[in-house]
Amino acid sequence: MFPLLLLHSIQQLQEERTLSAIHHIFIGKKSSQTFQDMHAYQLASFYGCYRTLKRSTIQEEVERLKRNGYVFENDEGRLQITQEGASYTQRHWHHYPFDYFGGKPYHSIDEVFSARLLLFIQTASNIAKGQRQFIPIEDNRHVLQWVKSFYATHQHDLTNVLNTLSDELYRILCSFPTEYAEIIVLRMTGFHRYGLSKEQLATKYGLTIHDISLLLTALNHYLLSNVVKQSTTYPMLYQFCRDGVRDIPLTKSGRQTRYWLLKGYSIDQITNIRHLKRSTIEDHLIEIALADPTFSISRFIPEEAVKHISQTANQLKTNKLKKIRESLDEDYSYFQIRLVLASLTKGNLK
Amino acid sequence: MKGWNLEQTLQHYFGFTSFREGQKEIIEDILQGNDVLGILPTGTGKSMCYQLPAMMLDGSVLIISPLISLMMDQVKQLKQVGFKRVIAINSFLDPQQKREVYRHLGSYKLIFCSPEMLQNRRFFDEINSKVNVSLFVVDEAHCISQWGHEFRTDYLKLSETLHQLGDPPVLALSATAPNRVQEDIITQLGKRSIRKHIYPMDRENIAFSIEHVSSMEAKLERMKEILTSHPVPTMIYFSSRQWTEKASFELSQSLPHLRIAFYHGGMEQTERILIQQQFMNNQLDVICCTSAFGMGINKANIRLVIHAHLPAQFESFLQEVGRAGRDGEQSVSITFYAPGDSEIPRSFIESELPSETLLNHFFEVLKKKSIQGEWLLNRDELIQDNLQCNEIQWRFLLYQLEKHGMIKNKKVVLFNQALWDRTHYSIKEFIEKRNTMKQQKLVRLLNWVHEEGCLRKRLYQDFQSSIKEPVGYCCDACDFSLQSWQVIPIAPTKQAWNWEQELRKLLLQGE
Repeated sequence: MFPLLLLHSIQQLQEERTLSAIHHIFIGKKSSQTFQDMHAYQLASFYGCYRTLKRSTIQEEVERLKRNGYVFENDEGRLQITQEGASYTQRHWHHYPFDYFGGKPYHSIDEVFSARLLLFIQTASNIAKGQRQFIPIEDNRHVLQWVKSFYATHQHDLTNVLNTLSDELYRILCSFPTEYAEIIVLRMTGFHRYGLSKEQLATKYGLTIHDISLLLTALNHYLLSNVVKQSTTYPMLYQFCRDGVRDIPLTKSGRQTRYWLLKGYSIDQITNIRHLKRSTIEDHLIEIALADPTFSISRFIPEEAVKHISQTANQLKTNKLKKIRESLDEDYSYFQIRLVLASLTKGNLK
Repeated sequence: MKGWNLEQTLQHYFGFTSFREGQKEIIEDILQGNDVLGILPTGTGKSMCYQLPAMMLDGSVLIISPLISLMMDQVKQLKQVGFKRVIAINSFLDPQQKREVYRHLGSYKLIFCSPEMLQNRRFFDEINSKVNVSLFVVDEAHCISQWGHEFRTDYLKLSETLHQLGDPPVLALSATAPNRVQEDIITQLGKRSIRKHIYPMDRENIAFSIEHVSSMEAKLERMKEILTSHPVPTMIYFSSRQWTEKASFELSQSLPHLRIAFYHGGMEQTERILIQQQFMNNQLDVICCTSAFGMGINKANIRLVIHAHLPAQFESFLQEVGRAGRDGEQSVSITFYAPGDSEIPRSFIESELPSETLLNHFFEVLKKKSIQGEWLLNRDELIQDNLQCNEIQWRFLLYQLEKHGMIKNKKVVLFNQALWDRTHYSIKEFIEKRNTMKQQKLVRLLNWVHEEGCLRKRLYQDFQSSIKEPVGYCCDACDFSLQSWQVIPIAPTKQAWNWEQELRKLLLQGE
């Protein structure tokens, strides 16, 4: 699964970006460059799909792909997919649930959702069985706190909660292929056993540790997307993620800029207020344009310019700023071009 | 409560009708206001020695513990028996919780913290002003000697803290402390007149065996044979993370009927918890681990502890072996030794403290910077000067500079040739002394590996003057052989499984 995703990403980049761009998307780096890249190259759904991925791991995998003749390094030092690589990807892509990945909208909640759910199942299962002493599988303080208070509000009708949870999980897992439902359940911990580790799951299903890391995230995203989209069908599960799904994912600083923008301040005014460079505020605007579906760029760039830039980008079939700018006789700034590209890709947001 | 004897008080609070070996003698001494050093074997209820006095004394008991997990275990146990006025101060508390805890600090009967926490000014002031410390406990006191000199140097500041607290009675507890370590504990705490209660630590139900083989591959082959003829709950210690993974893979391939996994400090936290608890919960039969797997492990039915590699000293070896046979049943320790094996612990010892080259370089850099005047010591800045040292070495150097007056108020003082030379020389001497001592300890362990007489006698002779009669087998030299060791093999547990049923079981449906 991991090599396929890597091949696919290399293909999407069209030799316009380096391997770092892919690494940054996979680990979910919070930078406007990464936000822009993932939309420009249709990799947005893989944002943050493997947050613990090491730079060296991705490098090792690329070496393997090179040895297999699936990719090569071109004269500019950029990776390029070969014919064999492309056909290999095409043949195997559908064997894995790549379409489960939800990207950035789930970034802030996916790990929390699964940690809360697994810890609550462990807690409820043990206590309902009369075992009040057990070692929690999670040591994140916020997750522990959340489960504690969730348990406190439901402890008077624990049986009911267990019934509902069991019913909802059963229904939602039936929509998965059997093997995936198995993996999700094997990862759970209850009164009688502790869940399987990633390493154990990988061995059991003949996958690598990287495959299983990706797969668990994919399954988690699919679970989340079902729960969020059908919150009335899964009211109990929805409670485990409710507080996280409404946020527009922004960096802390980007959020502050958005606050001033919404109050009607101009870029220059915000630059002064926040004692930041103009280019930083411009980066924030790009970030907001990518993440916030309600954000309009018309305040910052005339209608005419939007038309020009978007037409040129479409004609050239590229997202390279330099090419676009040159082809427009350098009438527009890089910032203006980036802003238009960002607002264009918004339509692709899931 | 008045008029009750100790046994009645014990039964009232903890439900036990009698004391285990050593507990009563230690508690009586404490209640008379004496300082006490207690060496009690693992699994014999060391913590009762301060838990019961906590119920009986006015004021609070302050317990210094090396690991958060150990503190948490203690707190959990006490809350389990219904005792609520107990707290572990640690970094997991958020600022609001911390404020809350500090406000009521005086109301806790037992307060657990790390030696580092105790050096936190704010926390110490709270303790000093709000808490009447009636007993100061140093749990796992061998850490003073084992770690205090090097990377947990706050252990060496305990005597000063004690003094600032008005010298309350002290209880130092440990399970593994040979004479030298006992002496070190007493010196560091500055309690020459401490009352010693030393109980023998030999485990009469563990038999000892050493196998000399030619290579690591041969060790793995032997492990496969042993686990085939004796499939029992087993821990296998390795010196490196890579080996735990490799061995776990190879053994699993050859022994598909056994459930085998690896554990080391490089794993994600959740994965570590899952594997550790699976082992505790008998979901795993064999665990291939580094020394990171250990403290706080209390699984009763471990039958076999294998050392694929040697640790650097008897203390570690005994702690690791001591996890076998907590239930009193016959258990076995097997140590493998191949030519060249002594190199691993030897180079480990050498790399622990700064090398001479590193030390020279360090002092040069300090000189260069301090000629201009005093400056704030900062590790990142030193790394830019190509000074590569690890966390332990860094903490060691920091402590040494402080001790020799080269750091004042977190700043390195103005350059002064005499001070520089003096400090440099004495740190160098100190490192040499520590390394020599550790090499000697290693040599003792290596000698044991080549011992031809009774392994049990030689193993414990540093720790105690006589040993108990073994229950069951003794060792290779006396009476032990694998062939004669009868075990109850692990029963295979394969059964039909589907996720629907498992989900119902997890969430207790249809029971």
